[in-house]
Formats: sequence, C-alpha cells, structure tokens
Amino acid sequence: VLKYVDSVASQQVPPPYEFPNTTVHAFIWEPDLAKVKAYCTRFLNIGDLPAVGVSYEPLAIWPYAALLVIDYPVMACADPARKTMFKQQPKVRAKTSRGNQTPSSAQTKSPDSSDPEIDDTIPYAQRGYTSQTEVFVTFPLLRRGRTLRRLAIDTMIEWAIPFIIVEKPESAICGREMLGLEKLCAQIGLQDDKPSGDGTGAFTASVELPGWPSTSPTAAQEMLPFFEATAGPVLPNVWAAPNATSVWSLLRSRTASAGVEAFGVMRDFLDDALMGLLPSTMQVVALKQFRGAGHPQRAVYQALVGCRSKFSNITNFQIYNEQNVSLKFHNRGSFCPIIEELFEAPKNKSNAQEEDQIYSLPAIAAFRFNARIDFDQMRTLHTFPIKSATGARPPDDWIVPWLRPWKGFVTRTRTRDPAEPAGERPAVEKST
Amino acid sequence: MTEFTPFIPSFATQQLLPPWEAEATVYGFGFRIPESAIRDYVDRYFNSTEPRERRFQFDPAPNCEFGILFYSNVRNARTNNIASNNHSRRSFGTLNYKEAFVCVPISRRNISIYNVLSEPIYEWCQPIAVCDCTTVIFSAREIVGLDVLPGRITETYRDDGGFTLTVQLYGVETFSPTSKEELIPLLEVDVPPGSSQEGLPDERSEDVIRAIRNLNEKTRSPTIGPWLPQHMQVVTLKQFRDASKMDIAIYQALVTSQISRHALPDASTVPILLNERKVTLQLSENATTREMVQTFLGQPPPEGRETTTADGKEVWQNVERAQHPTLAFRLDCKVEVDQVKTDVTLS
Repeated sequence: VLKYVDSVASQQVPPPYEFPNTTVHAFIWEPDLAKVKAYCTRFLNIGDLPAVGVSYEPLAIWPYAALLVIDYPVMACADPARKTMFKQQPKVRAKTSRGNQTPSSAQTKSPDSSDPEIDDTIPYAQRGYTSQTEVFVTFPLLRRGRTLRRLAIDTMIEWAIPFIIVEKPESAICGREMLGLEKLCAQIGLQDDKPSGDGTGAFTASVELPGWPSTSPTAAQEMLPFFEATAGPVLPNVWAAPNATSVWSLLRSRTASAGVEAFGVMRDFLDDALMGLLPSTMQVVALKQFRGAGHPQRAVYQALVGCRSKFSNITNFQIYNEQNVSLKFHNRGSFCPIIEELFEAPKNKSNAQEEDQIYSLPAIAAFRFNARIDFDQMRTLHTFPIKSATGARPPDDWIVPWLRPWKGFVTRTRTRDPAEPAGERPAVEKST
Repeated sequence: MTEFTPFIPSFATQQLLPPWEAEATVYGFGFRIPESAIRDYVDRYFNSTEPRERRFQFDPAPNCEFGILFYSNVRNARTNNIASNNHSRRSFGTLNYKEAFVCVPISRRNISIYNVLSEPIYEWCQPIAVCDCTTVIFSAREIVGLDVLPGRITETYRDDGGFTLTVQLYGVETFSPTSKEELIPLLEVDVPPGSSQEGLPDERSEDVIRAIRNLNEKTRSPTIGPWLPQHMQVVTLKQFRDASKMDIAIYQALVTSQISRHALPDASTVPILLNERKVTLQLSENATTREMVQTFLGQPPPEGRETTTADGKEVWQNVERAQHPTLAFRLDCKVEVDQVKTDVTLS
C-alpha cells in the first residue's frame, strides 16, 4: 500500500463534503432508452462481465432523466477532523552495498534552513469554503447481479452522470481525479429571481464551455455557448395556465406541496431501509480511469466508483410550468459527441459541424427546491484488471447500502495474491 | 483480444494527447534555491517510499542550486498523436494558453538489486505549475502527472515598452471557516522598459549560466544560443488517490517527458538576456501560497514577517516578498513535448 504524497502545490480537499442551503432547479425529460443502454454498454458494462458479476441497464420502471442546475452557496469539507497530508516525510536513506548511505536532508541541512511554516494542523473544514453553480445530466440505472445470489444482494438503483459542468477548476480536478466524475470547467451564468406570489421569479442559466467550433485541425479552442435554460415563474402565476397533464396539477394545493416537504424529511429516516430507491439519495456510479503516459490510448487504471449524494431538509418545493421551460443545447463542433450520445439530436454531417445547430430538450416536468446536500460514502465498487500490469487488485465492494452492516455474514471477500499478475488468473475467493 | 486495456474516451476526456507541439513566447527568470530546500523536496516527493521498493534515489544536481521560473504564452498547441485520430472518434484543433512553472535540476540514480547506485542521470522537476486552460491542466495532470494548478495569468505589454506578468491562484488569504475561495495573488513580475541586456551578463547571471552549462555537459544536451538547454528531461510523480481511502494512492509511477525548444523560421533563436537587476519578482505569501513559496525560498527575513498573538497563538501575517532574479531572458521558439513515457510504476 502506497501513501498518496500530497504535493506542495495541491489545493485539493478530499470528500466528504457538505453543501447547505442549495437551490436545485430540476428538469425531467424522457431519454431514449436505447441511448441509455448504449451508454451502459460503453462505460459501465466493460471488462469480463462474468467476472465483474453485475451489469447495468436502463431503469424501466422510471424511464426518465433529470437535468439539474444546482447553486451551492457553501461547499465545505464535512469531516471536521480531516487534515492535509502535507507533512514532512521521514527521511529514507538508501544503503548501498559499499556501506555508503545516500545523503538525506537530516545530514546536509544547513543551519539556516528550516522547514516551511506550514500549519498542517488546521483541518480542511477550518480552512475555508467555496461556492459555485453546477449543471449536470443524470439518469437512473438498474445494477443487476448476474447470478441468483448476486441478484439478491448486489442489485440496486444507481445514477449515472455523463457530464457535470462546474465553475471552479479545483472542483473539477477533485471530482475527476478522486471519483472519476466527468467534470468540465465552464462559465455559468445564473439569474434566479426569488419566486413570489405576484407571478415573477423567472430562472435563466447559461453555460459557456471551452470547445472547438469545428473539427478542422486548425480550429482554435474558445469559449462557446453550450447550454441555455429558461423557466417562467413558478406556479401558480398569472402568465400561463398549465395543462391538465402537468405535474403541478397533482400538487396544486398547499397541503400537497407541504406534503412533499414533509416527505423529504421523512425520507431522511427511511433512506437506508429503502435500498436507495428514493431520489432523495442518489447513489452515483462513475467509471474512474486514467490514461497511460506513453500510450494515452491505454488505461493504467480503470474502476467503477460509487458515492452518495443525499438531499435533506427539503424546503420551498415549487413547480415550474413545463410549457414555459426552454432547454437548449448547442450541437456544434466538439459538443456534437455528447449531444448525439445523450439526445435524439439530428446527426450532424461532418461537413456541416461548423453550423451551430440548436437542440431543444423537451421537459416533461420542472421544479425547484432548497435542500442540504451531503456528498459522502465513496467506494471503489470494482477495479478492472489492467492487462500487462502487475500488482494486487483491491477487493470488490458491490454490497448495497442496506446490507453493509451485515457485510461479513452475507458476502465473501475476493483477495488476490500480490505477486499474481492482475487479470491473468482468476481471483481466489475466501470466506470471511 | 487486445494486449492492453483500452482507455474509453468520453466528452470529458477531449484532451491534448502527447506528444504535442506549439509556438511560444517564453520568459525565464533564474533564482537561487538552497540545496537543502531541493533535497527536502526530492526526499518528500520522490524518495518517500522504501529504497527497496522504489529502486531509485533522487538528489539535488551537484552545483546546481537554482531554479528557473518559466512563463510561456503558448499558441497553436496541437497534438502529434496520430493514433488519437482513430481512438477519440473525433479529433479537434488547437489550443492557446498561458502557463507559468518552476523547473529545478535534480539527479536520479537507480539502485540495483545488489543495492549499488548507478551513475546519475540529470533531470528537471516541476514542483509548481500554473495554467489558465483547463484542457491543458486535465491533460497534464491525468496523463503526464504534472501537478498543474488552475489560475489566472495576465500579461501586459505596456505602452512604455515594459512588461508585467501576474499569476493568481484559487485559494484563501487566511485559513478560517469564513474564508471564501477566490483568486489570490501568487506572483507579479515587472520587466521595466529598456531591460534588454547589452554586452555580457554580469557576475550573478554568469554564476547561473555557468551552472546551466555545467548541467548541459552532463546531459549532453544541445543548446539554443550559447547556454539554454534545447532539451529538458522532466520527471514527475504521477499518482491518483483511492476513492474510499484518500490517503492511499491507487496508482503511482515516475513519468518522464522531454520539453524541446526549437528555432522559429522567422525569429531569433538566441535567448535575449534581460538586465536581471531591473526585473522584479514579487511573491505573495498567504495561507494558500505559503507552502509553495517557503518550500523553495525558505522563511522570509525576520523584519519581513510579523507575528501577532491572537488567543495565545501566533498568527503569521501575509507577506509580499520582492526580489530580483539572478537571470532573466526572453525567447520566441517552437516548443515540443514528447518522449512521454512511464519510467517506473510503483503500484
């Protein structure tokens, strides 16, 4: 086991995180399940599936996806005791056969030199906070065990996030390197007039992302418009009446609206008992992978990573009239792959990619609420063996949240001989 | 069946794949670093594991107690990775960005199975790097393993002929639960008008140039002009954290790459020496940047730092540290980053 060497230049703050007083704008849409399935095949159902033991597929009972715009006024480390790992490492001397010792700083340090005045005793939570806005798309997937036993204990609902647009580059770096989240850094404009009873309170968001306007090898990267969202005032308002099929028609009474808030509080207590089925707790799954230095087409590390994003203290639940919602993506140049991967956008011909074609995403429901979000429970679900690599592979950690307290009774831990080349021999199973 | 595990490209990994090349305007500012500071750094970042496991030993390069702060305005950066066209489904164009980084010469000796140290090879490490383009940052961090920080870099060519460079980082001025992350100053460089050196470099510059020439002889690197090495072999510790145990590395490797600078067809390739006594480097030492500033420059002089007592504790005040470099030069060139390879995989 190797310790991560915290760099002198590192500004990374490891999870868990807490995000109080967020404002969430959610837009529900109906994805093409064939595209969701293709996403699963491409990014999650990889490797030797019988050895992996589970597979991912679209969730047929809730065939929807969500586009979320979340405003985080405070993002901070949730672990009050976690401290930086930037500390003076013990000096290690290499003894040679000639009886020499390579010099170390302990031997050669000049009298006037001294270690930096770094106060590494201040926990991350006491160092400060940041704030930002995020835009991301997410859809639920069914993780299904491939054998009867694993069907029973490894099956659960998880959420995939094909991309997350964030404002702060350090947030993007932490998300990408620690959890494998597909984070990109952009400029996000947000105008969120506070909802009021007089019909005002419109919401607009815009995202400008670094991209290439065309596939020309001479095209220079620039900030390009990627996404725009507008939503009219929350319901009820004087500007437009929702149709009879609107979600609002189900919740137009204050009693029902208050019920949603109460339900949000209740779900906090029920979460573990309900196997993560409720959307107030999103068990996120991501493919964490890194390129090889000499061969960027090869992966030097590939694993499925899970984490939990939990919404609590839900208040101010209000509904937008989905007829007044506009969600527009710019299908252009380097943005085409993600638009075509997720949406039913008309395919661009290669010679027409310089045209900025707008793809409008039809929302079937839209709402907003305030909530506290906790981001925690990071786990490496499965580490894929890297061909030609050597070394130990960590054990799988598929077990669903509600069974974790009884993990040792119902599961077996896979172990691998460190000397065994990963991926070339089957894992040795030991009962625990 | 493939003989390797393919990386699965996605929208978020539209990266600048090595090798890549670009045109750049480069400024370089040399400064002295105590050998003990370099040794502390290599011990902490490269020699932290047991010699038996790592089989190499890093040390400061002898008689090379200096670092060079490079600032590059990079234009038209594009990949030369031919395989990327087939791999990434679609390939895209070029990048323009600005970066500032510190290079420090170090030596590496391999340790044989009989614990015999081999002859040293001389490389450069990049302990501090800042860039204003996230595409480059993601590529450098995730492929090469360079610890590049995001920041804002602003260059200003003034009407009077002078040049100002400011580098800002995301961080906090003071550690406090109420401190909000924002762009904070790290470095400001002022090159006043008329800084171009006439005649030979003075004694302070000559010392650094002598050390660089000494290093060139050891690395057998050709030079641009009389002394600037054309090729710089950079070694990095590429590492990633485990998702569940953040203090554990799930991957660690030594990665080497080569930065080469070549002549532009329509520009002078000789580095233009600037009068380093006119050039000012001002470093801002605050909560976020203190670590990196003090690691190489040591603590500020007693008269430059103030301590106050709050609740019985010492509080270090933020300090602005201005100094002249020991060498300053400017160069227009073509830059190539190639020969990127994983040298030693630790895990």
